[in-house]
Amino acid sequence: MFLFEWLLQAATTMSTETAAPDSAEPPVPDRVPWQRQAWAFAERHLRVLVRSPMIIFLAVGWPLAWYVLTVSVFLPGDAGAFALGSVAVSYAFFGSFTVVVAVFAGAFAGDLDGGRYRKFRSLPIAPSADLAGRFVAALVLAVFSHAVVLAVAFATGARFEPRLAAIGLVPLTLLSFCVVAVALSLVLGAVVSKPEYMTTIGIVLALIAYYTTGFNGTQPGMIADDPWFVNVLPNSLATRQQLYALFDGDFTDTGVLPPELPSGIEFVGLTGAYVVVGLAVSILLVRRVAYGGDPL
Amino acid sequence: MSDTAERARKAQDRSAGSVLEASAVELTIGDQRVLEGVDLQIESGEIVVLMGPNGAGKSVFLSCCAGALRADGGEIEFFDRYAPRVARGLFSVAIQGDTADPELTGAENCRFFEQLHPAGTDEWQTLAERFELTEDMDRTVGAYSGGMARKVELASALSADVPLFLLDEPAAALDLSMLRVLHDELLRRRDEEGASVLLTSHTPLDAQIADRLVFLRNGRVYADGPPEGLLDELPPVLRVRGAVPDDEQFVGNRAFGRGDEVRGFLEQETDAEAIEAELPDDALVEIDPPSFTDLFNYYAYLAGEESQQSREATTTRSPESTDGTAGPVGSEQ
Repeated sequence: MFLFEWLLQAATTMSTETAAPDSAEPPVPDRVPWQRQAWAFAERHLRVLVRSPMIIFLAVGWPLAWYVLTVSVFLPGDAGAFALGSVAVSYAFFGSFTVVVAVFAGAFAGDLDGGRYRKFRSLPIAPSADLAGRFVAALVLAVFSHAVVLAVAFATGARFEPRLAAIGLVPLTLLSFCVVAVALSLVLGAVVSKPEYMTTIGIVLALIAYYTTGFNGTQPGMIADDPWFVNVLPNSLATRQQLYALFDGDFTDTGVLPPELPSGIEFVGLTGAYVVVGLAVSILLVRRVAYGGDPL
Repeated sequence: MSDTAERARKAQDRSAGSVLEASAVELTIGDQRVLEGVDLQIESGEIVVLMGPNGAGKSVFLSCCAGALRADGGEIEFFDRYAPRVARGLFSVAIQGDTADPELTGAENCRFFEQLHPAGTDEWQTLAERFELTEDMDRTVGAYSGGMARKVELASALSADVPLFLLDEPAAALDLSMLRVLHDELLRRRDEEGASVLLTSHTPLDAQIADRLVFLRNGRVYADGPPEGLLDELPPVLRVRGAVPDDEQFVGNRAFGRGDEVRGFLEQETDAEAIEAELPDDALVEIDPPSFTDLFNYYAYLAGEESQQSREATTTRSPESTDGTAGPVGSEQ
């Protein structure tokens, strides 16, 4: 329902056309410039991202430090290209999740806590444009973080052998993961409302998700019970789908199995469901908490 | 079309009719009744200053008008037809609080809000110059003083090409020279573009630009009229210098300090002789024409309370506030 409302609103407010004033009639409000507003929000977040050393560190330095530490301490010196690559994929998602949750939960909480939403509510802003702008900026940040980790891993010995038929899973998993991370960040921003705590909370949540799913699903053998859920939870599902897409080979004796990698269409459907649920939660929060509430 | 002709056309378009009509607006927050049936009308091309002490409900009322808060009861209508949420493209708002993003520069903040408002323009650059902010517009707002951040918010809000401006305490944190710049800008908007302004304030100086003053206290309107008319209706004002008279001799059992003098309202002018008789011979005691500060003090603190004869008298004087408002004797500003 909310998704439908959002799409409907987006479709009906795309125009910036202005009605001509008629001196005999009261003025007519201009239509909401949806695209311009969405870009304004995206640009605002991107500007903040590029000038913050802490965010750059979280996006790049943090996952790379974990990658280097893991490769140096836990992998044998003759570890194969696949082992390095799978570790890189797991930390690429780990880094993306950390930075998106920390940054966007902090930004949302800051807007709520600082009273900026009282100003926003007095402007003819489409809440969907606000959300779209935040999401675009989050996606740019997540893709950047993800790509840097994979590129550094490749430069230091990791190798990827993509399955061309499944390569579409790479952007799909990043997209779905980003939607889930943004939805979670909005929940945190609405509940905690203290932007200064968000970096710590984002890091802790990322670590919990990473370890409880066996390194984002790359080492399910470390889970005591049946690790079936690594093909269900969003972080490990996305990681394992991307492993399947990036490595066209035999996964026996790599620690990744069992369970089998999520290669079927049903897992693509589950990923799509995460996108729908994540969007619905995000739209609900932005419309009700940010633009519908009265947080005095 | 030339700029002058364009301004004239806009002024003509905006020259008639009601811009804002609020009736019986009510709002309760928590267990506190903040607005208790507020009525307010603004005509086209009118500057209305909504005055009152802190906590009177001015900002909350303005937020209801702006669509940022939902009133519990009553009705708010713009241009005889639009509810606040529908009319948002027709007004521009500056509200109190840290609405500028501290991590963006002043220019980036203004550009951001320019993009958000359908009627946004780049006139904020000219306004930033008038507010003497040009050199600081490339610094992040987090490094600004409160007054500088306020000027960025005002430049941003005033740059929208709209027929109505809703400004919440715009004078707060501005020095006197910048207050004059703001007043000149608002008067220019009214005179050249036919724009209307609703401005909340507890700074008596803002009364200078008002076509109409509305006083709000405890969520209710106590007075509404042109400044000259309200000044004429004030009781006689007694000024005492060089001595401290007994508060109980004044209306509301209260006197107000301003600089080195005490001012209070008399039931009738002849009461001045009785007060003078009780003070030392070298004290200056005289009836003084009322000022906007007197007007503010009367309606902010006394109107409606004259009959409370049992009010406890107090004797200590509070210092004059930095915004020019005289402090009521024995009461907290």
